[in-house]
Amino acid sequence: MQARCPHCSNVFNTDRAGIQFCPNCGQQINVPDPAGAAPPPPPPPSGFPGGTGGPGAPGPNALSRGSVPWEERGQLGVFGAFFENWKMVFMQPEQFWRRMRPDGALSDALFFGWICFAVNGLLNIPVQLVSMAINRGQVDQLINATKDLPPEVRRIVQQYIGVFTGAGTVGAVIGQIILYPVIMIVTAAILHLFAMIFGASKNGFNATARVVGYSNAPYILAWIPCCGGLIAPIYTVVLQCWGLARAQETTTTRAVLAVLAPGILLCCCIVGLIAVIAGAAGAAAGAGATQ
Amino acid sequence: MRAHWPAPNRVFGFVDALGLTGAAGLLVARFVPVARLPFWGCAIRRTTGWPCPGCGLTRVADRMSHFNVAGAWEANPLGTVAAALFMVAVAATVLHLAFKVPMPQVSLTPREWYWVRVALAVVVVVNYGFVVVHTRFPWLLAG
Repeated sequence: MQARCPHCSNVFNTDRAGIQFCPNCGQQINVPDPAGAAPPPPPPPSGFPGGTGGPGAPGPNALSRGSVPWEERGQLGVFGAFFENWKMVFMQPEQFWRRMRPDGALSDALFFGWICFAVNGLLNIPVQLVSMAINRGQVDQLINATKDLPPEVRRIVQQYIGVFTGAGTVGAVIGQIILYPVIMIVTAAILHLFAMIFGASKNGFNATARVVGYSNAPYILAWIPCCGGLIAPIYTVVLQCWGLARAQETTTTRAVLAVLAPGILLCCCIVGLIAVIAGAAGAAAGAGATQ
Repeated sequence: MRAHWPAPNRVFGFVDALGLTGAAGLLVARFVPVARLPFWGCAIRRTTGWPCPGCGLTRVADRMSHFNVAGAWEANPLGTVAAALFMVAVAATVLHLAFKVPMPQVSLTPREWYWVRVALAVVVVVNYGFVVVHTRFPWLLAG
């Protein structure tokens, strides 16, 4: 029978229905069965319960999925589709991830995550400006604490502090919003690399990238002072673990390992960074107390 | 192992994502002296004196972005190989997205994946051994 690739529009001959690779562009596609019969049998069981490491034959569950609300913008409207999608990711992640097609368009997830990130950024600007005005004294003390550093390092640290205070906040937020697609793709690439290592990449890079994009839904609340910036990243990680397990049809353990391994690898740097920031804040507070 | 060469295309895939990651990382390492920032460094090494498996990766990125391969190898050999592979991915991405050069689709059997993971684990352990010896017992390498 003949099938048309939705990615490159190439028409090709195939002898079976189900998920397979387009011989023209190499993208993973789902060829519907013209007789409406059951999908082809699943691939033989692998040595790994969570599936093979590479983008091999996808599991049968991928066939029974539909499009998520955001991908039905034509019927629901952009705002309705966005709200429904956000609500589903945030409140009903299990249903959402089971419904999301791993071979859907990467751009849909990217734009959804981009909107969430942009809304957070725009709402975050006034909060940051008010916060900086309140904490101006501490920032000045932090800058004064850099006077013992080598000149080149002092210049970099002061530039860094300057970017994230005052008017620099607006530029930094806008820069982050513009760079979001790069950030998302880099995150997806690293996550997929570890997913391959832990045998959680059955449905390919596209599925991982879509999980990363849709997992950014909590960021829409990250602007909320005090708790937002803490809860949103944590819930995003939870959604990534959950989504990766469902989208790649693997075990939760493998998905959690793939999501957390990059963080564990970078743990030393993060711990060091937190220790130094805490030390600097403590030194600034101590200096303030002695004045 | 099964390899498939699709027709020329510009469809964004995993290798392109790795290329973008490599380009971003190497550009940051080239123009931002991250390793010289006062808060940067390994807390484990600072506290215990022993390096962690990722020690030297910042120096690798810094030196590879300045094409100092020997210096990068000295800091972390596996990191140097990874950085070199990222550079290859950058070149492949440019060829793929600019000139439609197709990316091969390679799929491994479960057994082949098993041996890939075993080899990776062995390489990581050997590399960590080198980093520990280089940091704690440099005279062993000098001899």
